[in-house]
Amino acid sequence: MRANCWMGKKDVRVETVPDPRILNQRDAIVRVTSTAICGSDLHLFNGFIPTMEKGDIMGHEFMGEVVEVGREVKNLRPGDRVVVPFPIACGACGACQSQLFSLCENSNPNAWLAEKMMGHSPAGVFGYSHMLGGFAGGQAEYARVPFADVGPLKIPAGLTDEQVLFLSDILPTGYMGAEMCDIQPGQVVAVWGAGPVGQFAIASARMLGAERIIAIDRFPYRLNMAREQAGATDIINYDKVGVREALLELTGGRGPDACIDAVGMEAHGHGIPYAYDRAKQMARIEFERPIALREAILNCKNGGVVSVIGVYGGFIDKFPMGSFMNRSLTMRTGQCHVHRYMKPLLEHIQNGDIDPTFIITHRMSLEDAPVAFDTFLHKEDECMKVVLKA
Amino acid sequence: MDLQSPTDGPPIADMTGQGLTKGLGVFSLGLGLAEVAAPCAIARLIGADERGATPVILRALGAREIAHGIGIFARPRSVWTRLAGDLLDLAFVGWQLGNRRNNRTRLLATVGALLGVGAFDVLAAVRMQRSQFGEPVTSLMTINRSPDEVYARWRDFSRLPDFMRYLESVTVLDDRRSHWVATLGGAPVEWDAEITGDLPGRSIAWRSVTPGIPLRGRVTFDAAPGGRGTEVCVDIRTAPMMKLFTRAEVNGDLRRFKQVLETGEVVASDASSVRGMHAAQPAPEGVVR
Repeated sequence: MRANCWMGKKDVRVETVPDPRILNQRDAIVRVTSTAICGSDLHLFNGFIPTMEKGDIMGHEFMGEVVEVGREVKNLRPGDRVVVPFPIACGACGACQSQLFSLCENSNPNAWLAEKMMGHSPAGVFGYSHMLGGFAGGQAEYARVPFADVGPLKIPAGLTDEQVLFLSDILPTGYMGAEMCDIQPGQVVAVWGAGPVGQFAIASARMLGAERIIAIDRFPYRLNMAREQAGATDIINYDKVGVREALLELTGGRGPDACIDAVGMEAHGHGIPYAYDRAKQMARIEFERPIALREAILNCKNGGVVSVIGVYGGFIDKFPMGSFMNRSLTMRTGQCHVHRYMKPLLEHIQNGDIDPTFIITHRMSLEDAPVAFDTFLHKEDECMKVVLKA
Repeated sequence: MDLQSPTDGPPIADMTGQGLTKGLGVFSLGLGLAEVAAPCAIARLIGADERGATPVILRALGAREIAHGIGIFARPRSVWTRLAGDLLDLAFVGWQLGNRRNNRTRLLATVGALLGVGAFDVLAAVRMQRSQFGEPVTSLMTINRSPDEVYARWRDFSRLPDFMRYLESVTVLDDRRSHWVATLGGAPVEWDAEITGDLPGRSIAWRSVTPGIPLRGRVTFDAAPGGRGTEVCVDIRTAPMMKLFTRAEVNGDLRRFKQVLETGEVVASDASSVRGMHAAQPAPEGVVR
């Protein structure tokens, strides 16, 4: 089959590789019909996530048609159309039974590697380094899906791929980011990053009843989409205005009740602090450039919530612990427990509460994945989200 | 809680005499330093004449004592050489007893002390000689199944190779005895084991009875608080050369044991389906192990 492979830093290529096979009796093989490039794939592309190996198949947002199932998979049959959640979860361990699917205790065969870097291991993830399991990803013609009796969501007829594809990751991720804010009527939520996850966090905050939603980014096309399509009430372009001054003005000097970091480890910014982080990251002294996170903490209202859904990989410097502690802030974070959001969000899509297709700007062929990565990385052609058709 | 022995029952770690040996090493260093630094004070303490050749001899004995201390830390098995030192010390004190100007009471007390230390030296030497075991390897895992279920799966020795990667087979011979075949660095290693303790739902202990293959293992099953299943604790003691039982390996065994019990089988990824470095993409036909 053909698959998009990580060949090194800033180098992905579509190669011919062996077809996947059933390795465990709870596996399914899915013929991928649609797959997407995630913002977090750019962290892999840029070489910021350790334990990638040459030849690794990328991609963790995918859906398709079941073509083969293992002996123990009773709920799926060849021909079923499914969306696959990006964390791999067994459904039987303590974490899964607590609905913490991205912390599944059984799905990462390389847990020892993750333990070395993080203390304890999270779940395995498709196409996201060997530290997270060494699973082949979904930017391919076919994918092996472990625990197919737990993860994949069957899609009713009448819904297009594009309507449901983002149930695999970014829609639930954005939703969880908003849910973790514990939004009360009348509250103000600020969202750093108006990329695809930020757009869905904004749309979810709207569904959850936030009074005011402020989008912060530097690309006018993203800010416009946030206001016109996702439901942001206000936008801040940090290239044009000071974020702090703008937030104070929009909140009567209090600061937002909740701040969502939908940026993660490769934030951009201005001036000496940005140059400092950029230099340290390039020298590999620091894993992350936590500019958005620091800003979210410093600007959050006293006693407010900082919700982190942007991806981080290692250690950060200059964490404003003094501000965080003295002002009684709460941080909530995590890789999305996608499984617990898929069904309710599918209902929201069916009800018309949200139409996730608004973020799609590019439709390309799997064969064009390398071009698509480049376009997405450099935000060329007002690129927001690329869907690849296999 | 005593974190040195996380499970109940006799701690296996104390059977090697390693703690005693290290203690004797520290004692050697302390005494040697005192003899070298303050020979006259030491002479007064043991009741010997502090004039004449005595300080020089004490300094020499001190230097020997320090060398022993260092030697014990470098090679614990060299602890028996301390016995030769004890004899030298006794000869020195005996010689001093012949001098009428010395304090006989103190000298006799010194003889007593030397005999006491000598007894510890003999004990440590014997323990070190008998012990073929290195440091214990301990690993823990919480498994979301009842202690009875977890115990039963482990007690079925013939199915241990399902999750212990280095085991080729375990053949159960009778209620107590079993035959184990493993691969160590590409070469097969075989041993017979016997069960030394078996409390259904609580713990299993076993040991190798094959000469030259020192191996003791114990696994305990405790109900985890909050209905979270079973806390499994494995303790393996073996010779340092038996590289099968590193901490990482035992921990991997336990993780696969958890997968087998909770999900039905050992979970494979595309990269883990083949030994060694392998890209996260499906393996070509014929290389899956």
